[in-house]
Amino acid sequence: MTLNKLRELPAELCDRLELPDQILPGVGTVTVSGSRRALVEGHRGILAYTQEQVVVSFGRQRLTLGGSGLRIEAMNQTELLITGKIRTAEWG
Amino acid sequence: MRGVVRLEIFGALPAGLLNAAAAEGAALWRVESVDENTLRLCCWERQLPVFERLASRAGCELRILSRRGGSGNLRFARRRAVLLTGLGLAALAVAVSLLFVWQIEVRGNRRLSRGEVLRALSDCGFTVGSFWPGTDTEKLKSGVQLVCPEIGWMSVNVSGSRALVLIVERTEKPTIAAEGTSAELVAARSGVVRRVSVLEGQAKVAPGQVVTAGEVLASGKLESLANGTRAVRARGGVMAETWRELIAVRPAAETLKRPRELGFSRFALVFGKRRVNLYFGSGKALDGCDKIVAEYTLGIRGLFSTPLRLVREQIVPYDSEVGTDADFEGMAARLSAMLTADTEGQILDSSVSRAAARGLLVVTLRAHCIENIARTREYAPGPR
Repeated sequence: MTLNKLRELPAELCDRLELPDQILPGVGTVTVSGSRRALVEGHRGILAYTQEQVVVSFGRQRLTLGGSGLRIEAMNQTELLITGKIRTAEWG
Repeated sequence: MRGVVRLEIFGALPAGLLNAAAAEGAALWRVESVDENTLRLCCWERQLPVFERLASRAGCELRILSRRGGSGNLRFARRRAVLLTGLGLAALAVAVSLLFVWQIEVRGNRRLSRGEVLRALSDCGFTVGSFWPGTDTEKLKSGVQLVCPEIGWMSVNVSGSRALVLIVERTEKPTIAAEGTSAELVAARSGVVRRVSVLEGQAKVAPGQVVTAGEVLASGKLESLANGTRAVRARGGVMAETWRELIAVRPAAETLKRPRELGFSRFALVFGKRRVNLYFGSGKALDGCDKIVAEYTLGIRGLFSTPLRLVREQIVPYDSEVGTDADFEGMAARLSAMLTADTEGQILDSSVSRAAARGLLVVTLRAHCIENIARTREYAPGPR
């Protein structure tokens, strides 16, 4: 319980000081336009990739995008552009 | 030019290879998942060694599906050296040909014909095939104005082997009566005088008087009690009613041309001033045929032109037959136009009649006019 609170401390501090979350390590940004395009910023790599599911790592967190005909349109060290029919986005 | 490679990666965890490549700064796009163990993607050709190294480290198989640009273009160029050399030579020829004039357009000429202007330019060394960067425009203008004094101003603009010659012709000097010459007003044609307005001189006719052609209407000799006779230049106008008759005669039957069939076309190539006929029998006379010539210059209209021109000659044979449909309306219209041009006043009434006699068609235009019949006639030089 204490360890969990310690982990949440930087996020709590950010909230209290009204600072943007992007300055925290391991926090990514996902911008979904409609349901056809998702721009993922600050990723740490792809954990799994099929046409139905893309799992993106953000360090301690992971994002699972589900849908059909998913495709990685472009990728570099920090950004990822995913196209296709996006139905779900799940943080874990 | 940067080359692009399409790759296929096969292995236990192909996504790991993507992460490793991205971590090394490689950009990749159009990543498609074929199945759980196979991915296809595009990357820059120069980053291919990075993928090969990472693939061998991760135990993945790498296969190149296609290449575009970069070294692929070089290989294409090596295989088609003759074609590319030909294209290069053609481009060079076009570039060199742009330094020569292959088309001369003349604008602004009214009295002078295009041929006269071109001949004057040719006399001054500027003709089709001239090397235009070596042309001294000022010298050319002076030379052409010497050959053609009717040209008052000229400019030569060359763009893309097309020369545009703009000319402005000189305005002719109006005829100015010499100071001191004396003259009288005489009737140009017979009629009944309706109004006399003499500005200088002495009127010799009055309204209602009948005058004949050549009769003096106003004299330039003024009687003076002190100095005897004084000669002046009579000026003024005399409006008179006139009855005009214009006659035109032409054969009632004339030879008419009727096209027999569609005919045929023949072609020739003109390179600069050299012509190559693409047909035989060019020396044969084409009796009984109309020849319609059209020229097409190779190039982009208004931008540049090449020395190559295609000439199309359309030969249309015709039959000659004697017809009797002489153009009465056309003749009447031409007579009417002549009358209007020759009348310094108003046409009150006119009628046209036709008559055929001894194989001739006679068209007569009769008109009743009111017009100025006064014309200046100078006195013969001599003691006054």
